[in-house]
Amino acid sequence: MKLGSFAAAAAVITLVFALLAFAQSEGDLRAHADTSALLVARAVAWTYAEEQAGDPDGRTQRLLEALPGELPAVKSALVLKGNKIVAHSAPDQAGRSLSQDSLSDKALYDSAQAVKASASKNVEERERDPSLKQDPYPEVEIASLPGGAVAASAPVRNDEDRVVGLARVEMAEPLPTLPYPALIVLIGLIAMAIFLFFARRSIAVPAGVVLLLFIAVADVWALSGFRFGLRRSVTLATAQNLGALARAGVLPPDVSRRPALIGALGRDAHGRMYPIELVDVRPVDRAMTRSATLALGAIPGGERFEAGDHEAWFVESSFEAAYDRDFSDLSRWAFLSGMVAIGLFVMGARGRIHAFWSAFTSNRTAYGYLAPAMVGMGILVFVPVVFGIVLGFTDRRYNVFEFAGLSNYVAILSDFDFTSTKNFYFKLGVTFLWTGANVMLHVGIGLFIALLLNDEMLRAKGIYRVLLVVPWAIPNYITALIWKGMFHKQFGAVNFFLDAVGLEPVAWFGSFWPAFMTNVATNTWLGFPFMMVVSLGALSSIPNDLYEAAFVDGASRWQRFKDITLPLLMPALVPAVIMGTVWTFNMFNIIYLVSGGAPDGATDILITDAFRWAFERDKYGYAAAYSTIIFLILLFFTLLTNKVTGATKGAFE
Amino acid sequence: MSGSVPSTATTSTKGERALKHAFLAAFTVAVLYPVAWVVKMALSPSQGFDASAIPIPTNPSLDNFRHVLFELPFGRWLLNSAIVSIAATALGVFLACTSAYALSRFRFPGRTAAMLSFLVTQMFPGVLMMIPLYIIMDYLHLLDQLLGLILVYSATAIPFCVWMLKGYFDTIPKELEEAALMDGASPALVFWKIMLPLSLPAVAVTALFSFMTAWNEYILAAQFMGEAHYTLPVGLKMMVGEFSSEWGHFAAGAILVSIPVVLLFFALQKNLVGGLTAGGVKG
Repeated sequence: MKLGSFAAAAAVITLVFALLAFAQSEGDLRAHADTSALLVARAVAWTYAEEQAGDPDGRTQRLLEALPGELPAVKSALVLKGNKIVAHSAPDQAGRSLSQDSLSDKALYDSAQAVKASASKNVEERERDPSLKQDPYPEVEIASLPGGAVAASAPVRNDEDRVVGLARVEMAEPLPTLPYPALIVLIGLIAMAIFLFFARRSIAVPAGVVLLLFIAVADVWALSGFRFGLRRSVTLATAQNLGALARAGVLPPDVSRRPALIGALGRDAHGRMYPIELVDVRPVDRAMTRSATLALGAIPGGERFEAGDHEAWFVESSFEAAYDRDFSDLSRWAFLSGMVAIGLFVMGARGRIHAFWSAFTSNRTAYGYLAPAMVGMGILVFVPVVFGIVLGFTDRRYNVFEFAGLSNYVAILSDFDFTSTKNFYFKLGVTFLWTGANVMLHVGIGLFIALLLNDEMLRAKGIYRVLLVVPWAIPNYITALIWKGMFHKQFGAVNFFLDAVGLEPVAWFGSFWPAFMTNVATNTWLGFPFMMVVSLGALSSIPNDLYEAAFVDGASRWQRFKDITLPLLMPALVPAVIMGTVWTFNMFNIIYLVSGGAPDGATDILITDAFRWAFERDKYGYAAAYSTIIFLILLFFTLLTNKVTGATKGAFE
Repeated sequence: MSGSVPSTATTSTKGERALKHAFLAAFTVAVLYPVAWVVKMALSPSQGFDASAIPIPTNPSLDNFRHVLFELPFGRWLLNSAIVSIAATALGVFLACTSAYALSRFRFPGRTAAMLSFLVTQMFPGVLMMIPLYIIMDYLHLLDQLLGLILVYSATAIPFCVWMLKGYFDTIPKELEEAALMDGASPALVFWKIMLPLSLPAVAVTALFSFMTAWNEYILAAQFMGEAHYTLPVGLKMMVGEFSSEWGHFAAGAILVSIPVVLLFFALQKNLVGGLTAGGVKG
C-alpha cells in the first residue's frame, strides 16, 4: 500500500539530483566568472604596480580603456589610490575623488579598506610564518552583484609588499548557450503527475512504464549533455577572455601557483613556459596531463594568441578528461533513483491510482482552495528545504558539489573537542542556554506585566499597553544595532550608567558572559511584549465569576493564581511558548548583529555558526548538514512537547 | 460591577494601584529608554555616539532627517519596500486564507500531511535556504526584480498565517455557513461573505505580521536586489558599514522606517489580543 509513497519519494530524489547537477553547473559558471574577474583584476593591479615602479606613462589608463572593447564581459574597471580613482575604463571618471554622498562610492571605499586590512594582516602572518608564502596574494575579494555580475578586487602592491591601491573589475557573467536539463526533468515530472491523475486502471501499467522510461532517459541525457556543453563553452569563453587580455597587452606572470591546475600554457619572451589559471579544475588525472602535453605541439581545438613578446595557448581538450568524472558522479545516482521509481510505480500503480483519482474528484473544492498556496510553497519553500537537506550530503570543492555520503554528519557529531568554540556540542550548549534564558525571561516578564495590567480599576492601562508594545514593533535589525551601540565600551549608555553609580565600565564584548548577557538583554527587550499580549488576551477571557466564587470561599491571592489563573492561561500560553522557543532557537539577527559571536565565536549559537560555515568559511555542504541537524532537534522538540502538552491536538480534529 | 467585591484578581485597592502605577511607569521609562536614545542620535548633528547617558540632544537639528530624505535615494527605497511589503502581504494573506479555510472546514486525504508540512517548514533554518533560493530565482529570471521578493516573502509568510487563521476559523460556529449552504450559496460565496468578514480581526493581525516580516527583511533583499531595487533595510544597513559609520543618519532612517509599523501596531492594538489568542485558547 505504501509503494506509491516510496515511488513518489524516488521521483523526488531524481528531481533533487537533477537540481543538484544544475546547481553544480551554476557553480561552475560562477566559478568561471569569478576566476575571469580575478584574473583581470590581478592583471590590472599588476600593470599599475609596474607603472608606479617605472615611469608614470599612463599605461594602466590605456589598458582599462581598451579592456571593454577587447573583453565585452567587462562592465567597468578602475584603480583606486587613497580616495582617488587614478584610472578608469570610462575616461571621464579617471582622476576624480570619491564622494561622501554617493553610496556606491562609499561601498567602493569600504571594500578597498577591507582588502587593504586583510592584505596587511596576511603580510604580517607571512613575516611570522614563511611557510605561508605558497599563495602570496590570497586577499583578493570577490563579490556577486545582482543580475549575475561579479566584482573582483585585488590589491596593488609596491616593492615593499605594501598595499598602495586597489584594482576593481566588474564583469558580467558569460552566458553560454545551454540545454535546460531541469526543464526536461520538470516536463518528465509533470507528465508523471498527469499520468497519476488521469490514467485509469486499464492503461496504467503500459503508460506508466513508457512515461517512467522517458523520465529516466531524459534525466540521464539531460545531465550528461548539459555538463558537456557547459564545459566546452566555459573553456572557450575563458580562452577568449585570456586572449583578450593578451591582445590588450597584459599577461599576468604569476597567476597560478597550483601546478595541478593546468588550463592553459603561456610562453614568455625567453621561451619559458608557465601555466595560466583558467577554470578551477579539480586535481587532474594522468589523461589530462597527457592531453596538455600533447597540446604543446599542435593544439587540437585550442587557440593561440600572441601579444608583443608573449604568446599563450588555450587547451580545450584537457577539459574533457575532467568531464568524464563529473558525469559519473551525479548521473549515476539520478539514473539509479529513476530506476527505483520505475520499479515501484509498476508494482504500486494499479491500486493506488484509482484511490488517488477518487479522492481527488470527491474533494475537488478543498484541494482547489489549498492548491495555490501549496504550489507557491512547493517551489519557494519545500524545494529549497529538500535541496538544502540534500546538499548536506555533498561537499563543495572548487565550486563543484560532490556526493560525500554521511561524512559531513560524521565530522560534525564525532568532534568531541569541547574546548573549541567551533565545536558542535559547545554551540549546542550555548544555544540551549540562550533559548532557555530568553524564553523564561519573555514569559516571566510578559506574564507579570500582563497580570499587573489585568485590573479593571487601573487607569491609563491602555497607555502602558500601547507603549510597552513598541519594542515589538521596531524592526529587529534596528533594535540589534541600537543595542550594540548602547553596549559600546566607550560611548555606550550602559557604561555611562555604571559610571554614574560608581562602577567600573565593562568591556561587554570582551568575554563570554557579558557578551552573552548583551544578547539576552536585547532579545528580552524585543521579545517580552509578544508574551505580554498573549497573556493579556488569555487573562481577559477568564470569567470574573470564578475569582469571585474563590474569594467567597476564602482562597488566598496565591491560591487563586495557582488554581484559576494559571490553568486557564495554559491553553494559550503553551503554543506561544513552543513557538517562541522555535523562534529564539533560530534567532539569527540578534546574535549576528549584537555580539557578532564575540569573543572569538563563543557566543555564536547554532544558526549563526551554520551561517558562518556557509558564507564565511565557505563549506556549504557542512553548513547544510549543520542546519539539517538544527532542524531535527527542533522537530524532535516540537513533537515531544506536543505529545506531552497536547498543544496542537485540537488543531488536527 | 465587580468593584463591589474588592480585591478579586481583576480589581484592586487604592494602595495597590499606586504601587502598580509606580512600577509600571518606571518599567515603561526603562523600556522606552533605547528609543529615546535613538531619537537623540537622530537629532544630534554629529555622526558618532554622544558622551552622555541623558537622552536629550544638546543642540537639536533636523540635519540628519534632511540628509536621509533628500540626499539619499530614500524615496526610492521607501517605494520599493512599500510595493514589496504590501503586495507580499496581500498575496500571502489571501492564499493563507483560502488554505486555512480548506483546512478548517473540509476533511480530505492529505489534510494532516498538509498541516504538518506547514508547521515543519517553520523549523528549517531560513538562512540556509538562501543558496537554493538564489539558484531557483535565477532560473526563473526573478533576481533583481521586485516580483521575486514579493513571491518569496509571501511564500515564507504563508505557514504561520495558515496556522493562525485556521485556529481562528475553527472558533467560528459552523451553523452560519451551513444555513447559507442550505439556501444554495456556493462555498466561494460562503468564504467571501461569511468567513472573511467574521474573521477580520485575525486577518488584520496576520496581515500585520506578514507586512512586518517583509518590511524588516534584510538578508534576502541584500542578496537578490541591485542598487535600483534596494529596500529600506538594505539602504539603512549601508549607512553603518564596516569601516565608516554614520550613526546620526542611521538613527534618522531607523525612525522613519519604524514609524509606519509602530502606527500599524497602534491601529491594530485591539485586534492584536483577540486575533492572536483565539486560536490558541481553543487549540
